[in-house]
Amino acid sequence: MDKSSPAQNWQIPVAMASILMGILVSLQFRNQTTANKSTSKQPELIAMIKNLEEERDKITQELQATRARLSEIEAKLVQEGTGFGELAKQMAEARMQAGLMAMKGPGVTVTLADSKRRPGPDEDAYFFIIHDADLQTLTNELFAAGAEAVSINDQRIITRSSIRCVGPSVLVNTVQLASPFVVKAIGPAKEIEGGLRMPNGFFDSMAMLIRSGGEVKINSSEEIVTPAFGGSMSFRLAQPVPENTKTGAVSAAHS
Amino acid sequence: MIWVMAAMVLGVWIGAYMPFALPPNLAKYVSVSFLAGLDSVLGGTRAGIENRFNLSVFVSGFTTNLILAGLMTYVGDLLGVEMYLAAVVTFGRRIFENLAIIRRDLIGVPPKIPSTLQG
Repeated sequence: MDKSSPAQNWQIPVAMASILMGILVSLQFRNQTTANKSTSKQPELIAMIKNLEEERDKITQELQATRARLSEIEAKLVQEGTGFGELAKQMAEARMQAGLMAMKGPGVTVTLADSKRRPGPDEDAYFFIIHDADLQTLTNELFAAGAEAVSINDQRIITRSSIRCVGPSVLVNTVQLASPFVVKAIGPAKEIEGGLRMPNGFFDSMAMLIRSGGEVKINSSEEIVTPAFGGSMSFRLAQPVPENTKTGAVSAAHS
Repeated sequence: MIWVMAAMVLGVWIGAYMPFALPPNLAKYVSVSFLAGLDSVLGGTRAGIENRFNLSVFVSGFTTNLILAGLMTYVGDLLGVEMYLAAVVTFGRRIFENLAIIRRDLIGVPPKIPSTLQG
């Protein structure tokens, strides 16, 4: 392509423009590849979450198995009638109070379900679904009415339980739950139902949901079973306060 | 011809090691200006091969093409009409036509297409 002098004149300016276009193209290409990279990372992250969830479930199972074995050993100690028997009995009592034991007894089952209908153009979608606040109000009301053990979809509510909202689902004890929610409570069925149906109480607060097609049902039953709390219960930062200072603090609070 | 291609490769290589990146919302402008620039480069190459290259024509064509394409995209963005497509289609057509003429020039068969397109 080497030609005489006029031909060489054109090559330099065109080559310069060509360099510019090359820079433009490769910059744009780099942009495009980085944009793709951020979206292509998503499946990786999803797989990671799944792996971690599986691991968590496995460890939870192990924990439950270990706790079951522990209670077996304690039961054996009680039967053998050694000096450890009394101690084991106290342990069992403490575990029961902490919510680490499955419990059964008379009580109520409250079933809450999202509306199956889609909200119309003039309706608020907020009133078509169960919110974390609804479950909080319900568990509060249950305990206030005398419930002794409460579970939501087999997640036992204990002293350190939390109920909060995560996107479309509700987290109870760090486990994701979705509608329908089956809340079981062991306790005086009549009082509990009365408490829930109190004017301006839980039932009234769910009126909009019921009108939108949601479901709120109360069934009392002679035998309700609430499972044991399955999560971790260890204290990492909190330490017990010695007896004498503790009583001082309590009396100060009372006075 | 070889120099022009080598320059393009050099440009790509420089761009790959450029310390900064283009903001992603300029992607439309980049594509349009690339097409405008490529059209000018091919037009200039063709004129050079046909021995009627004129530096002023080339430089003015290169800059006005770029400015007009960018302006069109901008106005299109303002109006919500994808006006940059007009530039993409026009420059795309011209690129293919110029390339066809260059090919025929190189082979030595005179171009069928009337040479109304000036780089």
